[in-house]
Amino acid sequence: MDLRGGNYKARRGFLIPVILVVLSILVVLGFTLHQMSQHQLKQVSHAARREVLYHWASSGLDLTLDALKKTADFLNDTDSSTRPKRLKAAEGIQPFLDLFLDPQGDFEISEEKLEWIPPVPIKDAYSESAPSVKVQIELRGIRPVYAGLSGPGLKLDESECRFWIHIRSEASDLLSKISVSGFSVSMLVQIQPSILGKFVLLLRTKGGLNLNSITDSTELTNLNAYPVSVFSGDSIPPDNSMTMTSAAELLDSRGWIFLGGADPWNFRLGNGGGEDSFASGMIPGAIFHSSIPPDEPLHTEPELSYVWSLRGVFPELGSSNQFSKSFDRVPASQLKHSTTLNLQGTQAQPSPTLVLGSTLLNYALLQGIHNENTGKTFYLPWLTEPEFMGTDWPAGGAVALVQYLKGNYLNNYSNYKRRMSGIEVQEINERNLSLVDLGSSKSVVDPATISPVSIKDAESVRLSAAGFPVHFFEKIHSTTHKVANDRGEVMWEGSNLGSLSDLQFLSARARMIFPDGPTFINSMESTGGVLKFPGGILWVRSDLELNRELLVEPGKGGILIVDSGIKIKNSIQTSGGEPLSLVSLGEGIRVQTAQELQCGLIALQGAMSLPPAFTIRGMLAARELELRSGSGSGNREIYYNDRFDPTDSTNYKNHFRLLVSGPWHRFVE
Amino acid sequence: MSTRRGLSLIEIVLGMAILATFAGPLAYLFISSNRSRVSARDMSVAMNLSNCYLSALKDLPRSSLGVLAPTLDSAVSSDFSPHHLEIPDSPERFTRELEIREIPVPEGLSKAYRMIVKVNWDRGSDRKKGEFILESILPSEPW
Repeated sequence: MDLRGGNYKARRGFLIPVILVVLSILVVLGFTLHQMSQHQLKQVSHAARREVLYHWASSGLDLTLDALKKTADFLNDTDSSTRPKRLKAAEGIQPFLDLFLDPQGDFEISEEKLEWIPPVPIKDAYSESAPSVKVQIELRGIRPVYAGLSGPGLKLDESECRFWIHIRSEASDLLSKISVSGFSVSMLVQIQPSILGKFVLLLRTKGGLNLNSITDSTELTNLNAYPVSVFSGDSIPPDNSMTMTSAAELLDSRGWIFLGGADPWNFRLGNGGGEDSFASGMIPGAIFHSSIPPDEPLHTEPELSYVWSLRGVFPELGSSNQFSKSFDRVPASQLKHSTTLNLQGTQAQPSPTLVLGSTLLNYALLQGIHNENTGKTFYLPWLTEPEFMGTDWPAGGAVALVQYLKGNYLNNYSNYKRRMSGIEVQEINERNLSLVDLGSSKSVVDPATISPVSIKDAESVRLSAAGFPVHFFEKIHSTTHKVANDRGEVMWEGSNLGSLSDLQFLSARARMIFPDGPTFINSMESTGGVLKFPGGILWVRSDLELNRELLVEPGKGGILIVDSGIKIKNSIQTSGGEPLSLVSLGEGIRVQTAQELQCGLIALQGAMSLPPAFTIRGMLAARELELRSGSGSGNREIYYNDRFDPTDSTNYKNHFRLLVSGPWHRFVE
Repeated sequence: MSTRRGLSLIEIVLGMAILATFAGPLAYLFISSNRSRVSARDMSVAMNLSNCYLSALKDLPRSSLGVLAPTLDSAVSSDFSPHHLEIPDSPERFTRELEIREIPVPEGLSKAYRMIVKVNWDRGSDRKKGEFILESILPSEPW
């Protein structure tokens, strides 16, 4: 037997190779499977670790956003107890102040970077393995709000800007790290309506407004309507108690009035139906006395003295014996109707102000002779020269009395004329002299008699016209005005304020734009049907009807710009006088409610239509004013809110708003 | 001829020896791989369970947040229940627990809550419990 035969050789030991091959395959498969499963486990572990890190980084971002919101709320809070900001800021927001404030505590936006570690316990006994979280906040991409915008006269504030806030929150442990970033466009804007905020009332033209439309009387029931009373600040009596300097400072700090157009605005002061709350203000209520001068024969009668007083105009001046029918010969048309606008408040609340624009006041000057023994006063009637020369004087004066009086004036009309009653005309700003102690008790001071030294003290720091300083008792109807703040920083220069009609620059401040009114209304938070204004500058690109109550909370003031018309049918309430301005860029504003509106109303290209009764606490600026008549009557009052005043530099600074509003775009790095 | 066709005893013995030598490690390799695969799957399930719960909680109105002692998700109040949040319940072998604590924050910041979602599961093979914890801190006031 040949054991080395071919067949045997081919078959010997084949089992071992087979086993080795199978084993090799199994080992390869096993290792592959093992590697894959280990890899899978590693991947899942890695993903789990990253998930944990993601949530911690995300927490860091959420905590930073909360701190930023709290910082913005605090910096926007105008409550005086929160100032100075750097000292009064709570511990939690202290690190963020450097991002937005200069060393003096005023807003200043510059490219800043802040590293912050959220001051909350990330690690605790429960999760000692928690990662560390650090946050970087960066301001970048700062650009002015008004880039490319300019307007005649208006000085735009370059500190108003848009900028990016970029937040990067990084969570890391020994093996890995993950970052969650968020960014949003933010703004620093002014919520005062620029130079317009200085005016309690600004009317570019008279339009169709009847300046003297109130059928006045000594009886309130005879009034056809109440006049619109404008209050420029706190009530100040015209009691000749101030110095020139303090009066100038006072008038600089109050809301001013602008009445545009070339023709004078000619008002007849009103008697308000005998009610102080409707009669025109800044008229001394007192009756003045003076002795009869020696050159007049009546001087020898010691019981006689001259008396005079200022009043609004009303028909009874010519018909009532109470006034000796002294205005009987004055044309009735000059007595029947009195002013529609009490520009200087009322007798009950006199409100001195500076009026820009040619504005004349017509008032009744009652002059007469008082008999101390009888307590009676005979008012010397307004007469023409022929009437004076005759004996048929009003009030049925006996011929003997007429002759007696004429004798006192030596039968000379000129002598009588300066003592007779009549309608006097005065530039409105001259009434401001009744605030000042000029060493005499004259009710009407002729500015020509004021000494140059006193005139210098009467200069306004904040207003000049045609390149010259304005004195608070002068008429101001130049075509070029310059308005500066109390630190001399110019806010308007080189143009007539009446030319300001294009308010598109305000819309450059807008942080949110709505296509129409309903979209805007629906976007607002509401409680019990009361809408809450979200704050900042908002822009509605069509018209707007406000038929629900609107509430402005502290720090949530702003400007609501509407391309077309605005209808207001319900009240607007603000907390602490927070300024809110409603601005119509188009057809105007129509108020259709008697409820109080605590806001500024601005419609420089349209009409401001006001109902038979209204109360506005803020300011009002319009191309023209329309006063609608209607059944019944009610108060018609415009009160200035001095928080609108941009010429008070502190007040102006207080109304910058840091709008850190989102939406925040997030991404994971 | 027929006796020459069979396997030799040596071959069989040697083959058995080789198989016996490699069978143990190979079996361990396969079992270990399977355990890793199961672990990865369980971890993945736990991660998803905790992540979807935490994310849903973060989307709730902040006013509804409040302190909550460690509670199984099946026993939490309706606001925080998986059914209310429209997220899946825990599958068999898994339990999910929620705890919300108020944490101290410096003055001036909003109150903040620490939300802890803990998922445990029975690993079966080694009779040990698996655990995955996901945490987040959320201020009580929304942006």
